[in-house]
Amino acid sequence: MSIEPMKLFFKEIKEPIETAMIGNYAVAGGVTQTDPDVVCAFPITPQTQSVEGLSDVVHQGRLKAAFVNVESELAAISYSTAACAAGARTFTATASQGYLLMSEGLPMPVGWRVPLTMMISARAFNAPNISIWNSWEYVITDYGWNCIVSENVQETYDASILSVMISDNSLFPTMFVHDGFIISHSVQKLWLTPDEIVRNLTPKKPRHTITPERPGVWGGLVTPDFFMEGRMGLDVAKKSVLNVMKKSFDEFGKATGRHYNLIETYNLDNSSKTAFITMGSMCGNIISWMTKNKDIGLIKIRAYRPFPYEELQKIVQEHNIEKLIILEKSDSLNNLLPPFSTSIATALYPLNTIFRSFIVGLGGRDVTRDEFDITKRKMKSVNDMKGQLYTYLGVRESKNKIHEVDL
Amino acid sequence: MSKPERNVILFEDILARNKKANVLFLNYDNEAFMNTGVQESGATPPYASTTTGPGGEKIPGKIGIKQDLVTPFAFFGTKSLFLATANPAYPADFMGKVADALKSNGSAFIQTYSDCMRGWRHDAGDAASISKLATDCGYWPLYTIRVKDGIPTFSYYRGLDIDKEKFVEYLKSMGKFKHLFKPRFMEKEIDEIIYFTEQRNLKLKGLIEQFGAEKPVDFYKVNRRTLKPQDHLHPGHGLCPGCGAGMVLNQMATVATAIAGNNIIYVNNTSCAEVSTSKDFVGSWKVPWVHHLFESGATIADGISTTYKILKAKGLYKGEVPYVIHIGGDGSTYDIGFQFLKAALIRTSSFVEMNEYLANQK
Repeated sequence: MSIEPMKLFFKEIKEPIETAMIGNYAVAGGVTQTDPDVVCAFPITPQTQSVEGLSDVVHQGRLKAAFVNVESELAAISYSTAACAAGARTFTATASQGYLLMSEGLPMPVGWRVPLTMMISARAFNAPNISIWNSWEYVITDYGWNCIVSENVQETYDASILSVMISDNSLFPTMFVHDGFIISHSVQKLWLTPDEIVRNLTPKKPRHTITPERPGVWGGLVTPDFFMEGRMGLDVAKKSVLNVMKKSFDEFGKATGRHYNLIETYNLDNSSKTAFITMGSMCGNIISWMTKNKDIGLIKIRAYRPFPYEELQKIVQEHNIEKLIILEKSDSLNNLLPPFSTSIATALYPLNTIFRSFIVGLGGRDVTRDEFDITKRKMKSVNDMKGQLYTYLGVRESKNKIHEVDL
Repeated sequence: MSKPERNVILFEDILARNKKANVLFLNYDNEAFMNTGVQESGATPPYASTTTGPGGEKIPGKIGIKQDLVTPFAFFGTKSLFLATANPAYPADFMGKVADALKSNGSAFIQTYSDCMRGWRHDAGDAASISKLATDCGYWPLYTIRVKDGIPTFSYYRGLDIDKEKFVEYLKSMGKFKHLFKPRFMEKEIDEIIYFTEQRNLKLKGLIEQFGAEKPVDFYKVNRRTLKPQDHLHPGHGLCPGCGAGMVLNQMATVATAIAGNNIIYVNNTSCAEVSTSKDFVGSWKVPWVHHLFESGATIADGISTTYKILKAKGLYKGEVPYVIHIGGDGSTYDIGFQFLKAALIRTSSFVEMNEYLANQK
């Protein structure tokens, strides 16, 4: 039994191929091309097909790797961390509850500086109900992983290769995210990169590993005399990661013709001096809506962690953006703003840019063009930073009433 | 009934074997969460006093059983698994078992008695004699289970018969059972501890009867004078004087040095042995040593072992695949770490065949 879309990856890809497939298989293919040594994960919707695809290439003999089925996500992240620390190029993937269950193990690959890569198929977490559909669970915690977010299948395929480059060059683990179902399960057109180019982009480099040749203690106990030095050391090392990302994007762009940036912008020099700011699959929808709404721009965050705050400030200043509409697929019941918006607000603090945050599309709800219209209209009357800074959008209040919307 | 036949196993014969374990999982069982200050665990025996189950006036210590950890593993249907209980007070048996485990295909799990003088409340000098008494009174029987293609074969060394007098002496020797004797003699509770131990031993005898080896008594012959001192741990560490884990680590490392030299990687779950051998920049280990989380060590050990095999199969690693030993306390094997131990044990016990697949890939 072989998985049909994976067949493309069984033969050496010599020329760029134009094809169509779902996000998860595209990632499985991209990861295959980077020649991982260990793949270890636990299944969870909507992540699962990515590792199914990888088990297929391993079991059919295309990829020489240890594909390991473990008993839980905490075991998956532990196994992957150990394998990566022992010298294997390692890939894992998860979503939602799996990501939460991994939490205890997520800081370790950061602390040990192992270049692990992980795909996240973003999905809501349980409360008050279970939802297997899209929300941004990955923004609620931050353990120091690099994080890039993809808008479509092409971007997530490219991210599977870019993440290996970024991880290897920064020696920090990298997660790459696509929106669950919206990208993970939708068939879209994409170009596959030739194997030779991927091999050249992702050479296996020597690094410090757990080996009898270099005995050492990994993860031992430290007293209050030493712990803070370790933490600050990591912070200092993180400072260069955005540059590593930029270089990797450049290198990738030169080799494939597909150019990415930490932040991508569209139509910022518009008459209303207003722009959306968001990330992920919504951006495509906004761009097509913008063909009839030329008085508004879009800022798309591609590198979410480390957060490129200097680049964002530069963009807002250079284009004289006065108002920002933040669209976010997560919420915070306690904070002044939800997590993604908090990062934006912190970056905007010295600039006094006016913004409002709109919580949309939780649990896989469609984010519609009507909603873009509504946010645009609402933003026209916003001229200060007083009152509640966020609102839920597209929520049914009663049979004939949508929350905060007059139809 | 005639005397059961002895199966004499020479250490030299074990060393000469052309076999190798993927991972040896070693549980040093000190019967409570000692590292955090003597809290009750799944390994705590009934009516023992701990800081989360003190021997009180109404409730006399732990209400519950000491789980049987080793025998259930015999019935998971694994391909190739070495299981044993051990006691550092019987060093020849202990060292023989560690060697046997490391030189068997598949994986191995050894549960060893590990005296804790602070947690059990007795003088440091009594550790060795109390450990010996534990096996002699029938509380800590020493047995071995070799599982091949799903079928377990049981054998034993000693400690299957209960000696009630010695048993009471054993209980009296430690502060953790003091409340059973003073101010009031709790006959019912003491009887119950002995009764449950007896029942467990009866079960073991039944298993030996049904799944026993032809020569059911394993007798390891180890000439300790011919063994070099261990070369894995520096003499400096933070274990308490008289700590059972110290004896366990020393004997284990002596055998591991003889078998693996320095081509070995240790993985340690959060526990006494972990915190007392890795502090700050004065780690005690001369060989690579890894600590990840409280519970994940078995998975980490499996991950490292598999990584070396796949890198070797891919031609990315030229050396010999190192031996891997995972050390865990009772919390990380009985309780929070059970899921990880069980899964890793089963994965590594059948991975011999998987390795062949990996090696044959071109």
